[in-house]
Amino acid sequence: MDPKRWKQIDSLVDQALEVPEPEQAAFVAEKANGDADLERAVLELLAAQGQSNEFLQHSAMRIVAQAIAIDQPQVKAPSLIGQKVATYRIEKLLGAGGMGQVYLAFDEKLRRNVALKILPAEYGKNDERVRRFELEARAISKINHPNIVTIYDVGNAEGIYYIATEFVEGKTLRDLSAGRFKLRNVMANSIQICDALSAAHAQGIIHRDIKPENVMIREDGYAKILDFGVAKLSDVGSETMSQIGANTVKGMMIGTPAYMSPAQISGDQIDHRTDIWSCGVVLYEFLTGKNPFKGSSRQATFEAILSKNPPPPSSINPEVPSEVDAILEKLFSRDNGGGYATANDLRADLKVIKRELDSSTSMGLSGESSWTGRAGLRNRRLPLVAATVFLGLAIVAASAWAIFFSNRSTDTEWARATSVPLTDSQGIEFFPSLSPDGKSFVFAGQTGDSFDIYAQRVGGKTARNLTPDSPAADTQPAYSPDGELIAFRSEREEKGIYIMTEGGENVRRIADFGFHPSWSPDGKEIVVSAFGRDQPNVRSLGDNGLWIVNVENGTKREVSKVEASFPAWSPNNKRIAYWYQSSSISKREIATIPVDGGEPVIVAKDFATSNWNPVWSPDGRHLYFVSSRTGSLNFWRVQIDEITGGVLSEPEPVVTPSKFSRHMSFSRDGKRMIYVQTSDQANIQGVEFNSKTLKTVGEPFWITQGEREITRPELSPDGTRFVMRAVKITQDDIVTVSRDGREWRDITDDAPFDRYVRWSPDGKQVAFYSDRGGTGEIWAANADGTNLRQMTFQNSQETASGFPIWSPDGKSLVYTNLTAHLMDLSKDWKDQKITRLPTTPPSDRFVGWDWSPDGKRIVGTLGEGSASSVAYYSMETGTYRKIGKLRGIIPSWLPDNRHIAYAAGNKIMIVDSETGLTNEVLSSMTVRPRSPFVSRDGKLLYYAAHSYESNIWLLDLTTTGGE
Amino acid sequence: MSDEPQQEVTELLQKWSAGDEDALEKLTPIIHAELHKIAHRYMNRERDGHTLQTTALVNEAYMRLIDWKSAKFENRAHFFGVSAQLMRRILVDFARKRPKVDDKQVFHVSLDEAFEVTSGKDADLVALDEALTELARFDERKATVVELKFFGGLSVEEISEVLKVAPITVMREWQKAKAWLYLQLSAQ
Repeated sequence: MDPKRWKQIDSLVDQALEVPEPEQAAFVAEKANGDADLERAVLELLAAQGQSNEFLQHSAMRIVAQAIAIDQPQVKAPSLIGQKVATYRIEKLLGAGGMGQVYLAFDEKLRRNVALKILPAEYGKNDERVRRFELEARAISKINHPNIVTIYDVGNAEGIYYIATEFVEGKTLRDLSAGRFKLRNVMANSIQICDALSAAHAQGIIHRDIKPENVMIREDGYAKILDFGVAKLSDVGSETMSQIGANTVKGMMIGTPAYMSPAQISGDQIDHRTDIWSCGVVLYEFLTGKNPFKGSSRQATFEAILSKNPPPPSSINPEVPSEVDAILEKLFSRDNGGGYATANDLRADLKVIKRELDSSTSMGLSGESSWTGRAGLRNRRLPLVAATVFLGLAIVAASAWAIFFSNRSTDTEWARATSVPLTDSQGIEFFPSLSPDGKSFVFAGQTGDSFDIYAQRVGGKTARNLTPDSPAADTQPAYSPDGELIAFRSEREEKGIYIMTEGGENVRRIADFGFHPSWSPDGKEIVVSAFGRDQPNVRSLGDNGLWIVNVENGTKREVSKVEASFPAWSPNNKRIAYWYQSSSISKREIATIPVDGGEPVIVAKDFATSNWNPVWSPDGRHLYFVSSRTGSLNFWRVQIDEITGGVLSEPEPVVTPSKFSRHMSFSRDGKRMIYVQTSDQANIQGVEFNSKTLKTVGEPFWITQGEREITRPELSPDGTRFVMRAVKITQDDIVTVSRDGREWRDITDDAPFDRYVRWSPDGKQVAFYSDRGGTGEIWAANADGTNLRQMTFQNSQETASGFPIWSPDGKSLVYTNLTAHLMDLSKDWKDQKITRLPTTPPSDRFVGWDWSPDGKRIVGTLGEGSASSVAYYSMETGTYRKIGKLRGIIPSWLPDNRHIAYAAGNKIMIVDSETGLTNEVLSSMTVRPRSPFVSRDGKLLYYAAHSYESNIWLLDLTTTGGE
Repeated sequence: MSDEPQQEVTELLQKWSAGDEDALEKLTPIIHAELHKIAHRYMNRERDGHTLQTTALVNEAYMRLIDWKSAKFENRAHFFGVSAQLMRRILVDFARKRPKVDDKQVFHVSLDEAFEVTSGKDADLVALDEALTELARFDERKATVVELKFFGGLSVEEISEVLKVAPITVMREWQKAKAWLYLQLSAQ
């Protein structure tokens, strides 16, 4: 500020202060004599004088002393840790505020974690205040919504006032603001926020303070609104605050006016639309990185909110579609009748956009159908904006990511590679390994129901079976560094890791355990994982650890005890890369450890994405991996320091013509890469059924058609709608469709995994598995998607609760957490006495899937994986009975209360539960039928028909004149 | 109340004002100890449920620390000025160094804000310090008033004595300075 100018301002402020307040503005305008800047500056200062009364009221020393006082309880009062307040065992301090501490506590009654706020004793001095506060808190605690941090309990135990809330781990939008947002995620989160607001508004509760600080994004990308109703509660508490002089600092920190609605500023009566407005401001900021109304001063901000129309978001971030501009324009309309009347209206408009994004994502990535060689690849990457939206990667301002992606995606040499399919047979070919010279490859391919190792020349048409004599599955072949030997995993009688020559001779076992062999650069040793985890989307528990086996003499040593899959030995013998299941339930992460063992270094760990299947580039400078970060599962890579495991770059996409890719393998010179392209689709198929003969009539027909993978469909009791899990790229949702397969409705449509859905006997509700609460639990919702609610609270990161099945009388529910458990639906969770169904033999696991129509038996599978067999549990005798001899999965009862249908291989079988007589009712050459049901009228047999294909592709840099 | 810290502080202040930066290093722990003493009493009283007398506590502390009568300063005004500068430096430093809540510990809890007082907000002492430095560039008197009053704990009368202006002027300057600072800080 120029001192002269300041003097002018300062003296006009002085003069204006002599004038009675109502006349000040006119006085200043007159004196300023057309100098608008002067007028504005003086008016701002005058206004600020009014507002800053309490500002700097107390000395700096007092503020610092207070800060120390606040810090101190953490050190000085550890006494609460380990103690019990009401039913809560206090475990650790999460944070402290001037008016109390927040602890992580364990509710011993309900056996779950909570955040427990202990209020200071001061609080309880005024009975009336306590009473009002508790009334308010209880009203708020009634909003039970998955996108709102829930207040569980407010109480007073021996004079200690506490509030127990849901415990959420994650980051607020404010903390994340420097990060990157995908447009699709922004839409998904905004829809969730609208959902939450809708639910609260329906109960007459207004948040009043929606802002980025109050929206938390959990690690899995799920939004949670914090501090619901707190603005109002704090009115109740403000008396307390001023008593201890809290306003000292509060004066400086008064709210964040930039998110207030015009009504809030004008002091009008506010209603639920205030929240919709604030939600719009947050959305705008999300999209552009800029607050639409924030000015250089409070006054300027207020003026902007009252009268300014912010520029359309697309003018700041070109990736924002014009439809979003239109939504925000409508939202910020101040005309009478402008704006959105309800959060639900806003939600509906956002949903339209999200649908469009979803469909363009799948269009852009449907790869193989539109794939026409290199020209096709070019088309898909350019023009840039289209490509970005196509890839579902529309990105927000403030994100270096957008710049990185647009500039760099064309940089990886693989974009120049020619790309050809090497196999195109029906069925599965996977785990390819390219010979070091890049001229031939081995892979695991289907032989009937099993797998063998095949060898093929690159460019050749025929594959030679190298393991024809072994009836059991042989998979995961890996060429030795000199190309002369092949290591592989075999399930033959003597399971383990085997070695043979490249021609399939001299087969010998080197270890009686292990999966996914990877050779040391000198070819003398092989690293294997102790447990064979093939699928990133299935969470499986098994042995942890990585072992190194000497090829010559079979001696073994453990290099790591951590959970690790797909080990990959680095080319210069420094480190081993692997992937593992994160503690957060649906994520997969990548780490490396030194070859001699040691601490893991994390390579890829993201929000809301899975990373797996790491493979070193032959020069050891890059680590390639598969990631779901663009919504599909495709290749990415980072530069890496092979010695330290340090990551040297942002992940960059490796463009391939495939939608889902995995299992890459390089030639020694790094000029050729082969990989597996997979497609996994499933739709509902039906076939007419004769209940008397137990035979199908005519040909099966498709009930649904589409790109989604549909699993475990069930027809509603009244026979009108199917409910099912539908998987789209990496999103699992529960949806329903009319019996003719035409009219779809979502029950859930968001990031968390939702699976294993079943109708209630009255057809009004569904129960399903979901990890939306952070742990895998049973949830329920009404058939129209409303009233989403959690049913179990096992709260275990180790085991999930799935497969909910209602008893025919609707009074009980059986679900599986390792084995089946029975709960009483007439009781709240806290009063439940969960019964664990017995297992025989004790090590066996029973997964129940269907309750017999008379309610006396539950059919399911007993045992693990390939050893599982169909069995039913009798409620009367408390014992199991295995049925039939074939392996079988996902059984269900026929309406006759006697027969059971189940899937086995590519067949559907029906077995008589009394005689054990088994009949094949359906066998398919083209699909794998799963989870069969016969409709209640006995006339329709329906099932999920899976068509899974995987083929091996080659990316070749040697034929493009590259180098 | 022992005289020892008093004398020591006064001597160190003199040294510091004469340009001896080492004196600051010795002063800081003394003042920190004093701050902790106030904090401790503040907490105990809060726990006992007594009405808080923090202002009195703090004033006591200032007096305990800085005894102008025994000071060999040119004059009382100079001494006040130096001690306010010193307090500003130490307090802002304290705020700057106060450990921030670890990222990993961002556990958000409903209702937290309703009872928030000062936790984590000392950063604003730092922001205030910066704004004050800016203010001094074009209006030194206002900046000095803030330094003396807010950091030095001086009364309006004492400031009027230091600056040799009428108390009403001090009051007005204080209010205008606050308005300007308030705008600066709330725009951030």
